[in-house]
Amino acid sequence: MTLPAVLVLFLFTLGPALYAFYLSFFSWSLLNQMHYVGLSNFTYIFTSHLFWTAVWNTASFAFIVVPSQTFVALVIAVLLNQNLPARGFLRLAFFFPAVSSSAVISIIFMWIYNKFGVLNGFLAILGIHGPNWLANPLFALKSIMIMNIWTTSGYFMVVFLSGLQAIPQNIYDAAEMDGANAWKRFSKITVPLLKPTTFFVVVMGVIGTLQMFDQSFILSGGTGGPLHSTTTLVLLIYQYIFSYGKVGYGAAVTVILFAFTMIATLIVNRWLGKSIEY
Amino acid sequence: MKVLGNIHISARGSLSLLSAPILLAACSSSSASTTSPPSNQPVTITLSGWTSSPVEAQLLTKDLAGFSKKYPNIHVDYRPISGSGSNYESILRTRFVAGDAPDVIYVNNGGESSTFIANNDLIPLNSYIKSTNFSIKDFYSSSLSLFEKGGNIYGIPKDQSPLALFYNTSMFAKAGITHPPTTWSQLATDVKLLTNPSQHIYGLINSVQEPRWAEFLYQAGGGVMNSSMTKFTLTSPASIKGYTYFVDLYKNGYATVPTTVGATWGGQAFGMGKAAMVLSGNWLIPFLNQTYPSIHYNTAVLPSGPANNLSLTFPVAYGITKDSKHPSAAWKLISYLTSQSGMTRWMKLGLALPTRQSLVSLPYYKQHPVTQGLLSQLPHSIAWTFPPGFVQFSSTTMVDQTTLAIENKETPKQALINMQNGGQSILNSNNG
Repeated sequence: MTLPAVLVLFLFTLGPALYAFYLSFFSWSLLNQMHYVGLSNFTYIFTSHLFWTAVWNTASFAFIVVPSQTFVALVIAVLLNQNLPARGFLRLAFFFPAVSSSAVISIIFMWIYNKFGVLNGFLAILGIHGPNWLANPLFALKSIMIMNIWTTSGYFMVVFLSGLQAIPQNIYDAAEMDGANAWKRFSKITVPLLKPTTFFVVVMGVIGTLQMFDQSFILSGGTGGPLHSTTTLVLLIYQYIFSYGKVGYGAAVTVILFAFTMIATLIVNRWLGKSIEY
Repeated sequence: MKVLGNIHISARGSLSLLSAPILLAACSSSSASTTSPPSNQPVTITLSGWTSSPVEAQLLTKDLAGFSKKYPNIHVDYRPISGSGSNYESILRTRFVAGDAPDVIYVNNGGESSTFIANNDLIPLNSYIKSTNFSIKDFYSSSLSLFEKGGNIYGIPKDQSPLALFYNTSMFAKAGITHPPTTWSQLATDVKLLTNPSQHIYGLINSVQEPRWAEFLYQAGGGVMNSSMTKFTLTSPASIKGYTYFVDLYKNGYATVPTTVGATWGGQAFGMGKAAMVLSGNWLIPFLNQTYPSIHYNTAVLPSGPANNLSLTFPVAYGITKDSKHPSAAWKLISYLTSQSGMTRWMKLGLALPTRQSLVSLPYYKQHPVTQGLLSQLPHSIAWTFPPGFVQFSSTTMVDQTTLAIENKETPKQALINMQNGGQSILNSNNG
């Protein structure tokens, strides 16, 4: 019964992944004959300035986006778990970005971040002269971070909502009886009991941010610019393989990214992955 | 058609003899061809190219209908690859990997042609050119040379466009400038008169990609590489002079990049009325007609530097891939599309300029005088190209260094030295 599923997994997931490992030891431009080069792709990558720029961009993206989106998602979820008017509408509104295509959202944000776009229009009302968000290396990646937090928070909000509803109400009632105020109830009951949910959200967030590609690709027009400020590891992989004809380099970065993601997940697992005791 | 008819009437028996070698070559990989009758075997060939706009795909489909009337046995499956920039080449590469490349493809300039030729992905067309008496002399050598290597021709240039100077005539009139600049010093004076930063209007708006500044190097008597493309010449005194002139236009605040005015490319900034001048190609004309029809503009040849007024041109060719099972049918398609009459039909669409010298005098251009600047630039242009393996260098390193130079974070000379060293080391590693 499981054979078709295993076959699909091998053909489309494990097979290509193993092939990427294999390719990382070869020099190949897609068009020419591939030949074995040992570890020289890795030597090149580790001494390449561009690779470390991409590592820095990806890491800072993950470090800022994961905590922010987790926090924002949690706060919105807790708020929308109350008996608010128009709760359904608000839930929909926050969830909406998660079901929209990230390409569409990226294009909308290109308008927002345009030198004479919506954001700078608002800032001008406040008397602030806004920067050229996407064309300025100082702001380009941060602009994508803001957009990403906005996009993914809604999805994780739904995850948190389901987690919240799994917490038994009688614990809150008991705490209230004992005189715990709203903040105490939140910090001593909600947050600890949500730990399995938080674990899921953080792991998915780390994996998602380490693999960020589409938003950088669209907002920078595929270049990762200005001045490589939005070049992420996956964008670099894409560029090496499909644009620059350096499949070996791209495969080597893929292997390194796999290692990074695994290490990051293991760390999160150690930190949040323990089972909770009531 | 006519030729074939004559053979048919005069020597009925020899028809199969004549066509047998061609068909044998066409079907060399399929064993069935030996048993089936050699003539009238319907074949299907695929044609892929990018599309500058949906209009291009529509118009090409229409033109292909004429081909299937002429050759009822050859069915052309036109599969355009949409998307911008390098998307087309990326997808095409994956088709080559799968061993399933289209029979006929658009072959691009800027290092793509040299890469495909170096990897033997295209087949030489010499024998077809010879056997069908296809006139090759009419083509501009600058565009044909891009698809030639070692005496072999790997692609027939279908069209091209050089960069010329587009200028906003109402802005020029308002500033009291009567004619487009013809020299560097006039250009420097004019951009100053036309710039108005408070209204976000600049004399010249262009991105800083290499094909937007390399012409200034040529105009100063320098260049990016030597003619045999074995050495970079970015740091020659003439190259430094040309590059510094370009960078100074930006540093002085009279030229800027498109994002400064909220545009994504120079042509858009020009259409928005934010740029008084832009260096652009023929593709800007249909874009302006469709998107910014109210803009008043004209074209002119580039202003002359100390040496000349050379520009870059971007020829695109049709080539036959090594995967093609029907190369002779593919050749029929290419010769149909790029023949004197085929190219005339294509030129009347106004998407690009001819690669045949005889077609610059088409009546179409008399009716569309706005193309005059581009046409006059054609004889003074060099086809844009790089050796294989320079995509990353030309699309990022050269852009980054020039960005640093125009933002005054690096001297023009230092930017050129960095590019020279980077480019030279790629060349050395390619040869080593």
